[in-house]
Amino acid sequence: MIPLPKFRYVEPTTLAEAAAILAAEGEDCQILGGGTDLVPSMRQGIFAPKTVLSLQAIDGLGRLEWSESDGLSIGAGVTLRRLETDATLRKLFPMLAQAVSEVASPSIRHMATLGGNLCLDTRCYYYNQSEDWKACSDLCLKVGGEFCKASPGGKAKKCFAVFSADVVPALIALKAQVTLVAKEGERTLDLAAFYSGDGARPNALKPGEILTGVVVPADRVGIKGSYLKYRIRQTIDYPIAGVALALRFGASGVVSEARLVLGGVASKPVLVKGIAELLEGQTLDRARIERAAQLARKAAIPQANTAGQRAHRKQMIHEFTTRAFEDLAREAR
Amino acid sequence: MNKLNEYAVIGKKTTKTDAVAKVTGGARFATDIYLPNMLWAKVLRSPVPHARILRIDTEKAKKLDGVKAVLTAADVPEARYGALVLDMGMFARGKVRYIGEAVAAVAAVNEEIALAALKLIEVAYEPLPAVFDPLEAIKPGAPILHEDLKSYKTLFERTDKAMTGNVNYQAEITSGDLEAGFAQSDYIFEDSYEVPKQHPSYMEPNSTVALVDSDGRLVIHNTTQRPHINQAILSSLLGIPIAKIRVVPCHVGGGFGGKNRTLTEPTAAALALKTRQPVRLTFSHEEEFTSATTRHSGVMVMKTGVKKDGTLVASDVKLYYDCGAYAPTPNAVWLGAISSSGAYRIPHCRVEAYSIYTNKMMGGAFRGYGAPQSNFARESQMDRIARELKIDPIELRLKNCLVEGDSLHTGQKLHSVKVKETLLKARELSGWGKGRVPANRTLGVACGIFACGGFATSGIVRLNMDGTATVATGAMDMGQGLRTVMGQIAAEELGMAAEDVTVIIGDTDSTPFDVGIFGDRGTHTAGMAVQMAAQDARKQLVEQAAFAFKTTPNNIVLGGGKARLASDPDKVLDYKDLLGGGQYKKGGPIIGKASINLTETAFDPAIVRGAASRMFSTYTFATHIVEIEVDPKTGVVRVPKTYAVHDCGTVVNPDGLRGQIIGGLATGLGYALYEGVAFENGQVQNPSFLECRPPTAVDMPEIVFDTVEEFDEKGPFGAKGVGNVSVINMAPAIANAVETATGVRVTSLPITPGKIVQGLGQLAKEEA
Repeated sequence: MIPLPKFRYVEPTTLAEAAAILAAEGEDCQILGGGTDLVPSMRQGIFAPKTVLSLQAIDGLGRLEWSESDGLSIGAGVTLRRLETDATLRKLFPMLAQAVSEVASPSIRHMATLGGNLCLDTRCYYYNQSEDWKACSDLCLKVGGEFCKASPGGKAKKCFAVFSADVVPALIALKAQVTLVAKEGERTLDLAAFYSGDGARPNALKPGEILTGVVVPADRVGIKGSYLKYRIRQTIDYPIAGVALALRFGASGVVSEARLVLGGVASKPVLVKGIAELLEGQTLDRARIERAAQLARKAAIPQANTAGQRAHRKQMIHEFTTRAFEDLAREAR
Repeated sequence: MNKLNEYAVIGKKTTKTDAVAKVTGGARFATDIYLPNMLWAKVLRSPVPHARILRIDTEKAKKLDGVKAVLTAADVPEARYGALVLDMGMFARGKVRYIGEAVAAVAAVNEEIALAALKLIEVAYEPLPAVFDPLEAIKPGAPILHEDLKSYKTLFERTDKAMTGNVNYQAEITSGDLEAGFAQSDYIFEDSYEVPKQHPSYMEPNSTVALVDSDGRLVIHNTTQRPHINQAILSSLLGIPIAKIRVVPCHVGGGFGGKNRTLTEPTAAALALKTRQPVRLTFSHEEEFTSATTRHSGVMVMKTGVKKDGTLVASDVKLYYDCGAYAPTPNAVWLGAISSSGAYRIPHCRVEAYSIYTNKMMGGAFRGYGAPQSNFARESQMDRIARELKIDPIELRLKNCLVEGDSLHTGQKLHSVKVKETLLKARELSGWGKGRVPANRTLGVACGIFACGGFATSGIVRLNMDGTATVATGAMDMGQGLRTVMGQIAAEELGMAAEDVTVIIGDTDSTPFDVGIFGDRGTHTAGMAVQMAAQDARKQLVEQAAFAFKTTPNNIVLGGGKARLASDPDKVLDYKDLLGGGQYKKGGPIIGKASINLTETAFDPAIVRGAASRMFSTYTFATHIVEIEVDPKTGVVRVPKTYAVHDCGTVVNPDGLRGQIIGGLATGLGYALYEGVAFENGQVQNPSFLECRPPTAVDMPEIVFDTVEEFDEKGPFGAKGVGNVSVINMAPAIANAVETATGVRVTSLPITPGKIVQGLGQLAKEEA
């Protein structure tokens, strides 16, 4: 930890103003939500922005609104604590509330925001270290070195830093859409498409863009969901394997929709391929659940850049996928 | 004999003296000190595990505006320090031996400039081959860390193997006839166990503010468990007489053994002497995890011979403890050797214990002090023996456990031994073997022994004119509640209320010598000195009362802040009336004092070679039974409940005792399941609380506490300690429960879910 580097602090009151500042400052500006990730990272020397732009005074980013036509709209500035305790959200999307409640600890959730969790930087033993620490050996790819040191053999030219936000797999399982605003205008994309899979630049935010919120579509109501998180201790820790499963059951227990998303086992949230093809129109039985678990296990590519054995984290994905299916199948009966 | 019912203060609920200050945020810690003109110090550290220093150029740093001093080894006396092996100087001299070693230090007007100055210091290194594994380091041809090892000063009786190659401290214990013992055994068990380094995880980093006062004396405000030893070390390193140094510790934000050392003090002092300005040096949390000290990692090889009926006959133990690049307190290796036979009677024993240099951060003192390692091996193997011989694990322990009058493998005859009673009580409380445990839970047991008390200490008790008392002890309170307990002991002895006694700790100007708080010395040893000093004061007070009543001292009864006549209890004098009188007071003011050393008998050299101490005052014992839940598919272990039964002698402060046990179990739980400093090429990979993972409150079990009634003749009012033994049983108890639940024996710490699942054969080979 070093003293917080000096920076200019700005607190615009409108999104337009914020976008203008961001456009002018470019890469030298970092956006501040609750600060629970940015501030410790700055104190570790990972970021040294010239300007810190706080979103807290901007009207509308604190919105948490449900409508039967537009779905659930959550502003980037909503704290995780508010999400976790909001009665409507808990009733309509219990999996989302569950996932939020698994983030860090209660005191951190009081400060941390949805936008911050969505834009959480990827993490790695070689990256989340001080400058002095990093200077003891070759730099890693994410900070300008030649190779990803956490990659198999340490020779990959792609960064494998791990994506470890808890809320995102649940939101992707619920087909959430994310809105990005820049000076030039705004765009909306599937949250799944927001993540690049490149640990060095984990998301699709372009210079000048601000993530302003997500929408969970109204037709997601009625989906059954489950989020299971594996971490070493029972609180505080980031996920080192996480499973978010969303299922819709039709008549007589037939699966009409299925989405499975993994967290903590790759450089992005992994939407497991083949799940819908495997299960939609089928009933859940042991063999199909096992096949789904195998697909999930295969899709997980944990690296030796965080706690836990890689093989065990794959095993956890397998087991948690099985449990998530079994839990929801039980619920559906 | 325990006389708990007769005491007015001992054993009674007494609020900790610092409770209000801590809860309200008023307690002052070393990092709270800001003085006018104070400079900020920062340390330049080695980025390489092993290298020759070819050149250090500090000129550019010195020229930076705001920099007041830059020091390297060339600027300070060539003196070394250490508890047993004097191997470390203030700065690396000629060589660096681990990543994180201090190479230079800067004092500047603010933190930013100090950090900027570090970047301007140029150091040229010539890399040397490094060694990171203690078993590699003792092989012929391994890179040698300290070429001049033999010439270093040591404070123990060297064995042939000590101070050669990469071995610094070494001890050997032989009792009975090992070969004959194995020949008599029906079964021989041989196992190897491995443990990582564990950081003490005190929340407050090491910190010192040093200054030179107007009399030219060096004053140190710091966070420490041993102010008087700090003072002596500063004297030897800086060449200043002890009386010209004053150490004034602040409240300690956790020590756990980790602050039983001297790290920030010499550097801050040298910079203050150079600049004549106050200098503050506070470690970053990263420095705590790379450049402070941890529990020694190591390998324990244990060969044990047993009769068919479970009687332990012979034990051959080899302890290879990795002390890192320097050995500030290899005493942990000695204490590990003592605890390595467990709380058992084993007639034929050999222990070889090694403290081995590697190019890693230092191993030092940490709660449990050498025993968590060896007891993990001993108590894991005891369960393996029980399983093989089909004997109940508690029955096996009861059959072999030490009893009053037995001798330890070191030849020390034991008194106040109630380990058997702790086993019986824990068995009863937990419902062991009674089928009371829920179906998804499994019990595991471990018991243990730890040396308690000893070494030099002293106490002073002054009676004040208003009938109150001021107690001074050089022993430190690092949050464990020592001040409260010292006050209770003096109050009981003097017949006063606890709140009428004020305890001064730490300040070397106003307190008498104590060697430091470690090894369960606080209540037992420092408390004994305070009790004896109080007895001295009491005797003088009785004489005063006898004079006042014109009677003989044996006719005086003290209690409740009053003296009365035994022959006529209505004749009463308040202490304040006895002690008043100011300048005309008969006989002058009352000052009681005591200086003691409870460690005066040497071990028999025919049994012990390389002893790092004399015989300990006494020993503490405990049995812990854990109730665990293991998920057989994921390997995740939770510990919802723990039964902790201690033989700690008389309980002086019941809440303090519980607090100590909770803390000990937390450290033991983290050691068992979560923690461990990870290294890659000698570099710490996880230098943070987030990645080193001490347990949180959520991870802690419900604890069922109990003690066995015991009176230790050498402790104040019969008290022993509890701080260390409370740490050493969790890891083996959990490992034992895991094997009962899953059939998987985990022989290395931490017991990760991955190891359990791997043991169950559920990890795909290509993935493992």
